[in-house]
Amino acid sequence: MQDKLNEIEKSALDSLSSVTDPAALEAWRVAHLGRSSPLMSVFSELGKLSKEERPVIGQAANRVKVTLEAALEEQTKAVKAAMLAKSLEEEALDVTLPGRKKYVGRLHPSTQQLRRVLDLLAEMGFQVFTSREVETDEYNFQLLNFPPHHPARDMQDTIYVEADDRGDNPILLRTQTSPGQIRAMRYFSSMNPSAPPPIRIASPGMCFRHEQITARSEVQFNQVEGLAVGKNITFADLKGTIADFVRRMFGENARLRFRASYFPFTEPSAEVDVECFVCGGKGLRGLQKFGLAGNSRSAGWCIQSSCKTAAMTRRSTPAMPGAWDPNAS
Amino acid sequence: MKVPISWLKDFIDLDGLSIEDIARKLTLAGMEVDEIRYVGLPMPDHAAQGMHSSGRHEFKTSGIDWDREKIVVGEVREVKPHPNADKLTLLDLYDGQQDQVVLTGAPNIFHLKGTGKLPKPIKVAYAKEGATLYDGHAEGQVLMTLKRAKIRGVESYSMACSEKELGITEEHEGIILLDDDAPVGMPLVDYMGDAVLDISILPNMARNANVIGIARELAAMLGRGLKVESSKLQAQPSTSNLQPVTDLVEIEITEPELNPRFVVGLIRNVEIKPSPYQIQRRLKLAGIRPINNVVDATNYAMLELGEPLHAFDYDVLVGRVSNSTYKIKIITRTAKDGEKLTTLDGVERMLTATNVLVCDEKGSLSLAGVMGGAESEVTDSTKNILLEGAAWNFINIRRTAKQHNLPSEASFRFSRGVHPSLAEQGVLLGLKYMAEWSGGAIAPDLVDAYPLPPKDAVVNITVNDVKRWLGIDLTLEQTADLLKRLEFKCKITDNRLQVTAPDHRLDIGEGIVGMADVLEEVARVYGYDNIPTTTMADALPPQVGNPVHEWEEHLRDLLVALGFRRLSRIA
Repeated sequence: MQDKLNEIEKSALDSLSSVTDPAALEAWRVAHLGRSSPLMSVFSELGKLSKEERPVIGQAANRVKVTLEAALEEQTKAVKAAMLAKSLEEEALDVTLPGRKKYVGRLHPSTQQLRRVLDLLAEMGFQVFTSREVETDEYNFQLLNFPPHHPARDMQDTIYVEADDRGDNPILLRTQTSPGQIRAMRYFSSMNPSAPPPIRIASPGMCFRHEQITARSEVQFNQVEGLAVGKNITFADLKGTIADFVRRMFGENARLRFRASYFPFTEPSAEVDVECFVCGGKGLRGLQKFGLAGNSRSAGWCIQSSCKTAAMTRRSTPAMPGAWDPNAS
Repeated sequence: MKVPISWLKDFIDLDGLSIEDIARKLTLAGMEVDEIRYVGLPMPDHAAQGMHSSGRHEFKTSGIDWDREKIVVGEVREVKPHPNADKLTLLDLYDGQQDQVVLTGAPNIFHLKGTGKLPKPIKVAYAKEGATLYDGHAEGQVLMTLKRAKIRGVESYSMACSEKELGITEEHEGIILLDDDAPVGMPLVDYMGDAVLDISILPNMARNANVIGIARELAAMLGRGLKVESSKLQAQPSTSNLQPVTDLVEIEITEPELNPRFVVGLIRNVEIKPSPYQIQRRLKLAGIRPINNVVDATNYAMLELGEPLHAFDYDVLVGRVSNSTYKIKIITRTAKDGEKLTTLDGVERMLTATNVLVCDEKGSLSLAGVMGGAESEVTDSTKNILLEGAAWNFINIRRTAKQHNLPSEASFRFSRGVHPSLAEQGVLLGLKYMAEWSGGAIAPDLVDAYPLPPKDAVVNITVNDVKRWLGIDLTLEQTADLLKRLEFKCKITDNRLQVTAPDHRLDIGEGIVGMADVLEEVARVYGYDNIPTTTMADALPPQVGNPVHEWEEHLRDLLVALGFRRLSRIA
């Protein structure tokens, strides 16, 4: 019997040394310390032994049980320690890894510039008046003094919309924001036809031309139209307003010059050159065209400026292609 | 439009102004200079480091300047054979100081090889050792400096130049043969140094698509006046004792709205040959290919005055009528649908009823205002020329030129509007140049059909109008002085200035439009820079805002805050 106990102890301890995970430990416990384990069967068979053998074997079996229990506890600790070591090793945390990227939203530069232009104009009393992008020939051209077949139309190659035959008044994508002037004047004067109110509006928006995409031209671009109508507004006021605007937009020292130009709907018409604020006085070649039209007809005038160009002057972007690149920022 | 400075100087004194000053004046006055090309005249310092200098300057600049000492007018006295090369010749040349031996392979003097001393010396553009020129053999324009070298045993150190080497054109087929009156030894830059202004002519400036127009504007902006009053520029009618053209030709205009005026003149016994070199040079700089003295005269007069002209071979027209004692009848009419005409370029064109034709009794001669017909064109054997100057409806010409895809110098001008008064001046000027360059004699009189003269544009303005529109205080006398510089006729009566547009302008309207037209001219001559900058004193309209627009912008901000990015793309 003593031999059997020794054997139980030996085989249990031997098998324990190769147990390395909690499930196997439990299985080992059931196998070696469980109710139907060989050791427990020794206890249950104690009654069959002689009186002399009984205490001896009982004590020996108890000793084996304590030994095995202690060994199990030992091994359990060892397995836990090994598992912790393993998990520490395998799941090591690299605190130098970059953080998870948070996506930041952003406005397109042209939107930013457009806002700035409109903000400045708003401070000068010009309020936003939005007008449609799909226009009629009448509003886009004829009412602005471009009669059908007039050579002035050569300056604005137009994208027409296929529609029923509308004769001399086809549908088109507006080539300029100026039709908004007509819509604004008609809108405001309809409010009080007997005494039309004064007008001071800024009309921003996209314009479309059938053009080659080059360093100087695009198929679409933003314009901002300024229109002031009042009883005493003069060409000198136009100059003053533009000069104020340019100083605010491009800085106190921005140099500008007015030169005669041609817009069929305004007379006198001026184009304004603003000196590039980057190259400064180095060369007027850096001047960006900043088209503005002035007019004192119908006791008012309008300003037309290309927002993209304004943005480029401020940012000194060398050329136009790619201005619509979605990655531009 | 390309305008050589030398041509402008025929009409206006430009002393004391640099080429860039002139370009700036024009640009500010609404005729934007796109590029300055130097063809001999000194380039400004910042552009002088050869062509296409990378430095920034006010105007796009290109070209070459000619060294005063090293490039001069030379005189070829004999064309001798090269001892060791059949295709080369040795020029016996005098440069004003000493005799030189110049090696050349130029084909256009090769036929004189070995003919001994020339009866009449040939004038050439002579470049000495060390001169900087464009390399004639290189592709494009590459600068090089003339160096001494031995070619087939003969030392070469200088050259007689081609147009390519001097930057006049790309032509390198032969050397330049100057006019006989070129003074030997004179620095070439003094003789024909030039600069070409490339000017954008906007539709409202169509009247200035010519040298006199540009000179007139410059004169007004500079307050200098033209050398000759432009109303007196026109040549005087002939007083020769030939049979007057009015006995030989009559004109019938069937559609005055489309053809308000038609003028013809006659010149006899022309000798068709090349124009003088200086004339050819100016035409080339202006972008027109010289053809012969007669065709060049029509183009030269057109570039100078702005009236496109058309030359018919008079004898072809005579040959088309059965009876030679019969008067030639020129008829202008609209084409019949499907009518055909072979134009100068050899293309047979199918016409429609909106096209206007110049015809005789036998049929069509030319597509009015756009292109001449092949049959009656001037050839090397032409002796007598009938010269047409006419006025056409600009919209009609524009449509015809587009329909037949025929952009030309003539249709460019006619499709933007040419004043009918220029028809007569143009014919006189064209005939004058033909006589000068071809030795012909001008027949007296002109045949002039003028069924629809334009109404004089008359505008009345007051001191208040000037103040109200422009924001400046000018007396009527001051206003009149500004307008007279542009040849407006001014009359002051009862605190009113009555302004009549000069007879080269079609752009001055009536009533309120005419007022705006005239006040714009006042502002231009006064100078936009001199107009004060003021702040609007008018009442500010009620500030109501634009809620829809503001909401849209607010939404954009919200989306951006949520991490969206605004794209802006082709629609």
